[in-house]
Amino acid sequence: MNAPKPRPRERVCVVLLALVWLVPLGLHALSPGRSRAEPAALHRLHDLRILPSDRPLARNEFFVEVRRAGSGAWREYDVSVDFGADPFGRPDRLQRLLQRWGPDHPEGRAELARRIYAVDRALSPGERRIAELRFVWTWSPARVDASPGRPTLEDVPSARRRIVSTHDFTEAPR
Amino acid sequence: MSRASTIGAWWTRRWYGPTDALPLDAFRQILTLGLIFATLAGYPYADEWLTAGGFRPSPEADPIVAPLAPLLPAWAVTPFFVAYFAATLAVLFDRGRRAGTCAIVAALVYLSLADPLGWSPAHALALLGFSVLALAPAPGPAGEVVAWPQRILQAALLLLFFGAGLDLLRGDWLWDGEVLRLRVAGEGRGAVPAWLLATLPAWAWPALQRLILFYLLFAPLLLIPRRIRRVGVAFGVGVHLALALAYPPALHPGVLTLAFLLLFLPVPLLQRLLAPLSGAPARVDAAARPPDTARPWKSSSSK
Repeated sequence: MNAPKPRPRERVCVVLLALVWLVPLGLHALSPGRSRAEPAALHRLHDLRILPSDRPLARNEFFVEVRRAGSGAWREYDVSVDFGADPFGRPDRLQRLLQRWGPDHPEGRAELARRIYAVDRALSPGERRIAELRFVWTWSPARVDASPGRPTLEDVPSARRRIVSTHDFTEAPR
Repeated sequence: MSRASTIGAWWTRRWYGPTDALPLDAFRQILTLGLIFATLAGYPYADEWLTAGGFRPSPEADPIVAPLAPLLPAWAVTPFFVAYFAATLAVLFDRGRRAGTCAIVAALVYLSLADPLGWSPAHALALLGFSVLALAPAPGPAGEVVAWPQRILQAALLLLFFGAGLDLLRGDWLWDGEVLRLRVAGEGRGAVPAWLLATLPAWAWPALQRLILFYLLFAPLLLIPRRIRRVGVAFGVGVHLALALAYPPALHPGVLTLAFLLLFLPVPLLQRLLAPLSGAPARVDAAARPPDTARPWKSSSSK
């Protein structure tokens, strides 16, 4: 049987797709991390890992607490109005961002706090304004019999809470 | 003929020779259905994904997840999705397939730039599949198509499986039998994961975990040899269905992966499997089919 004679366009397509997909997928198989030379936008396209590879040691949850003007108590703030999306079974964006940033990226948390403050002012103009806002990290040991769903902040013992950062809005424009 | 030229001729036949268009057709339709399913799940949150209505850090705060493309104005979200769904329907029903495929690729690339935080492996799998389909030549009148698009997709899936297997092997999946169970308990929200955790015996989780690991690592050995390919595909479908049920983040990528697995099935078997969907009798012998006979599973005609 004679071998077919591929057209140049077909050869170009195969080489192009191999360079765009097969070579990066092969490199990702050998080294899943992003190299400094690889742009993050390109790395994202080829990062097709679905399953986390490590044993989870703890379950991290982040909360937002606010103290309103004229009130001394910190209250857990419901961010689901602004961060309701939970696509593909993943945690919402606020959780993912705070998890990703950890104790670093103070600018990111400051922007996030300003956003929550602004949305609160827009959605609840009659409510006393937020004077202070803080992000709280909580953790619980990973267990196979853990109760499903997200706990409330009150459920978490104080030994398993850490304040990541506090943001002051007492000087913010009204 | 020298050995090198024999191998070269075999390679050329394997990649550039004609092959039945049915696997690629089935791939296109299942992939499109999977993408529609995933998009519908995220559509209610489109404002948060694509407009300034959703929070995004500035490039100064976090250059990795800051948007690289301008966000849509709020009024443009509905037209964007109307055009997007029209493109998926065009691809699904084979009306203006090339234009529809290119539109989907463009929409996915835009999504990767405008919403890096929302980008997921399901999007990346869809982009891989549709970028190959966008370049694939149209089938000939006899229902044949050049083989290279199918080979590229098959090679990509094998690399993907092997890479995922290596990644799990480098992690804790081989030595620690509780990883999958802990992941499902911690991240598997919903009734089905909770039911599985309560129902499956403790020994089943390490067994399922090792099964997944070995399948991913040895998928090439199960999917390349013709004789055991059916077993490899059945095994893969079972693994992905189990994962999709137990671990919700794997649901949409798992559904899209099923489309890739279909590419490894022999054509007569694929014909028999898909016949109930079209309500027509299965074709028994592919070679005996006259060129103009309508296919039970609608195949593409050249346009």
